[in-house]
Formats: sequence, structure tokens, C-alpha cells
Amino acid sequence: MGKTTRKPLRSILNIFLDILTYAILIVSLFPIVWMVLTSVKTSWDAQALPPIWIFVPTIENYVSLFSSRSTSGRFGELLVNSVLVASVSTALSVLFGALAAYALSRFPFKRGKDLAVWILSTRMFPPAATLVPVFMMMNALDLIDTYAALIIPYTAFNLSFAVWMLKGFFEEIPTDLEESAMVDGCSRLSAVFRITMPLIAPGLAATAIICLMFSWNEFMFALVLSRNDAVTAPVIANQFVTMYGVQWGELTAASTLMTAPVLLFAIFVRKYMIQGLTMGSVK
Amino acid sequence: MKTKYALLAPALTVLVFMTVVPFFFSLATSLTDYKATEPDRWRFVGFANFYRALTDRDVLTSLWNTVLYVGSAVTLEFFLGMAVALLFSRNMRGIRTIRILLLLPMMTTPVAVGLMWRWLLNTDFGIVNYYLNTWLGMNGPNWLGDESLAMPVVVLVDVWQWTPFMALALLAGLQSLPEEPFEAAKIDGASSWQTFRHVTLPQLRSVILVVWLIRMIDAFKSFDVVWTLTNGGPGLRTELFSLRIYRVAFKYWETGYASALSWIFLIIILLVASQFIRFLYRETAK
Repeated sequence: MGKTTRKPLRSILNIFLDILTYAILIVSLFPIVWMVLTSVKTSWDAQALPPIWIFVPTIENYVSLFSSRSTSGRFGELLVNSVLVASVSTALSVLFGALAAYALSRFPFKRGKDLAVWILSTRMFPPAATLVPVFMMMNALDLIDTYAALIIPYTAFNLSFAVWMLKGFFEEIPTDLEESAMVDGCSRLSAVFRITMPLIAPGLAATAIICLMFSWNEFMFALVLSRNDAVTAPVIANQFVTMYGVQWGELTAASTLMTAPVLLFAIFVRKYMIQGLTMGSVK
Repeated sequence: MKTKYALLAPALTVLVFMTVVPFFFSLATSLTDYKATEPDRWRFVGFANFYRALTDRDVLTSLWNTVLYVGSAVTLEFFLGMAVALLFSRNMRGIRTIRILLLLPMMTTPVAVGLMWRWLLNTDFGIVNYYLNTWLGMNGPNWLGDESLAMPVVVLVDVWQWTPFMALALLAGLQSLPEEPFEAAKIDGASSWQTFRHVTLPQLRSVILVVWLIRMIDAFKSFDVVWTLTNGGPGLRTELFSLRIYRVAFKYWETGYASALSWIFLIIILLVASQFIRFLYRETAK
């Protein structure tokens, strides 16, 4: 008897849980979807109540972001700044990070573990606490409003992550592989580049992409260390509210443009996202 | 064997230059009344800045706000995240795609998150208040302008953005558990609650610890979402410690005082982070 009453109950429960799963997904995605929808509406439609769900999309908000007659027409220039700052700092942190990670995973160091943990701990430093001294340093070096003023701190913040992440990938490659190549007459350098690097290529790519995302999204340092020439995209997006009243169309268009590449990348490195965000402690 | 130091050198140089050096720099300035706008006029004031911080009502308010914000957001995220992890560990059609889509909120540019929610919660044109009114007949409140609602809203936006992280990390933990204990529990006739309580939870302990600590450290650091969402308002209702430091340093230009606040912030974070670091020490020892 138990079985016959339990079965329909079970399937009802299952349907309920399925619906719950979809509900959670909708709550998670709706704000993003609504932002994208608003960005392709005319400003009239965007503020219409009841909210308009079906409409002819327009790119006018995007056009005005890039046209110079609009107050915010510098957006293209700022996107270029963002791309430049994010990619240079990513390249540096992956390069320096890979060198350090290789050293830590292959050679014995006196207190090597302390060193590794110290590198990791720099990640926990609150950026708001480093903001003031970094500003003073950049000011003293006369670097305010240059790309370097942003590239250097971004490299540092991503570096601890890159070292820790890549160390994990290097440690998964058995040292015998390199050693046997070296016995066959390869130098260590060429053994690393021919054997190890290709094997950890996915890890390198994932690390680079996650670094890229962090630098791309960064706001606080950009706000303080840039004035005019080196301003990145997130800084101006904020000014749609504070300076020009609220231009929802352009604001959502700018937000969409900033978020779109990150979301594409996130899906690309989905396997490593959680591992990266937990510093490799959850795989 | 000099190569191994050469390999470490670039990374260590950047890190020391951007973490250790600035902090010693700011330790020095925290003992003065230095203002970046008047760089030539400053004097040594000893620990006056630290003493001032302990009696500064605005600073104490921001500290309390931060504790409230971190505590409530991370607790909510954990319990919701655990529920979502269990829900998402079921077999259902399309669940893999759904799990991937759940990554999106946490990867959305923080500035965009703040602006997006301002738009959703807008009193005049916001979609949330519109449907509250038409579906439930409620007059939607002024979410971000109301003194008692602003902080809960800021917390909920954080919950929206970071519960997926908790859920996916816990899910990864759940999926890495060995199967035998679960089979044994089944044979012993344990109920699902008993299995969860006595088999799943104990094995998830370290993952749970890690996600709590990481979320706490990150929530302490929050700046951009709150900045764009409320900018600390109304009044000082959502002013977090990080926003306070920014304001003292770059609006009032009291650089010396801001340096002292930076140090206080650093010490608080290190208290939390040291737990995490200790944990990682144990893990790497294995």
C-alpha cells in the first residue's frame, strides 16, 4: 500500500521541485534580462507603465553612447581604456604568476609554504584600505591618470590569485615528464615550453580570463586613480546617475556593453570559476 | 640554483611594492595630520587619528553597518545557497545548462549590478513597484530612499548576486563526496534528513568553512555595488566602512585620518582572513 500512495506523491514533489528550480533561475536572470531589454528600447518605451514586453528593438541608446554629440559620447574611448588596462595587467599577472608558480611547485624553498601563503594573503587585503596609500604613492610618482596607475595595482591584485591557481595546475603535472625530456637532451626551459606549458594551457587560459574579468570590473581604484585620460568604462557608467540626471536607456546600454564580454567569458571558463573564486580550495 | 629566486623576483617585487610598501607608507601618514591637498603643511600627531576614529560617530556607524551587512548577507547566502545546492543536485532535464546560467549574477559587472537594481526598484518607473501594485495591490515603497528599507535592500542585492556562488561551491562539494557512506546510510534505513545531517554535513565541513570565510572577506570589501545603489544613503544608513574611507580620503581630503582608518580596516580583515589562512595551511600540509 505504501508504494501506491507514495508514487504519485513523489512525482508531485518532483514537479514542484522542478518548478522551484526554474523559479530560482528566473529570479537570478530576470534583472540581467530586464537591463538588456531596457537598453534596446526607446527612452519613451523604457519608462512606459505597464512595462512593455513586446516591442521593436532599437539601437539608438548604443548609437548615442558612441556619438560625440551626446554628453556621454566618450564611451568608446573609455572601453578602449578598459580593454588596454585589463589586458596589459592580465598579461603581466599571468606571466609573473606563472614564473613564480613554477618556482614554488618545482624547487624546494626554505619556508616555501610561508611564502605561498603570504602571497595568497595579499588577496585578502581590503582594496579600500590600500586605496589611500596607493593613491599617495601614485601621486608622488606623478602617475595619476595614466594607464600605469591602474595597471600596476590590478596586476598586484590578480597576481596572488594567478600564482595560487597556476601552482595548483603545475603540481598536477608530474615532474618525471620534464625530467625525462631533460634526460633526452632538452634544456629545462625547452622542456617547460614543450612539455609542461601545453599541458597546462587550459589552466593558463582560465587564469587569464578570470584575471581579465576582475580588472575589467574594477571600479574603486579607477575612480580614484584616473581623472580624464585613463578613465575606464565602469567609472562613467556611474556618472549617468550623478551628473546627467538619469538616462536609463544609455545607462542600461552601457551596463550591457560592460557586462556582455564578462558573461561570455564566464561561460567559457565555467569549469574553473568556483575553483578560482575559492582560491582552489573547492574544486 | 639562483634561477628559482629569479623566477620569483618579478611577482614578489610587484606584490611588495603594492601591499607592504603602501602599508608602511600609510602607517607613517596615519600618525600625522597630512592632507593631500596641502602637502607641505603637516605635523606629527601621534595616535590622535586612531583615538579620533574610536570616537567618530560616522565611523562607528559605518563599522556597525558593515558588520550588519556582512553578517546578514553571508548568513542568508549560506542557508539559501545550501538549499539551492541540494535542489540543483537533483537529476532533471537541462540541469547542467541551468547550473551554468546560475554563474551569471556573480559575474555581472558590479557597477552594472548597482545601476540595474536602481532601475528595477525605481519608485516612478520601476518594474518591481509596478507589479507589486497591479498584482498585489500594494503601494510599493521607496526602496532605496527609505531609512529602514535601504539596508535590507542592499543586503538582498548582495544575496541575489552571491547566493549562486555559495550554491555552486557547495554543489561542487556535494558532488565530490564518495558514494559509499550514502549507500551505507540507505541500507541502514536512514531518512533523508538523517542522511543529510549525519552523512552529508560532516563531510562538507571544510567546504562550508571555506565558503563562509571567503564570502565574509569579500563582503567586507564591498564597495562598488553599494556605491552605485545608494552611495551610503539615505543619511548614513548604508554607509559601509570602505565607503567611509573613500569619503574621508577623497572628499574631505583628510589623508592622515584616512590612513588610520585603512589600518583599522586591515586589522579587522586580518582577524577573519587569518582563520582562512590557517585552514589553507592545514590543507596544503596534507
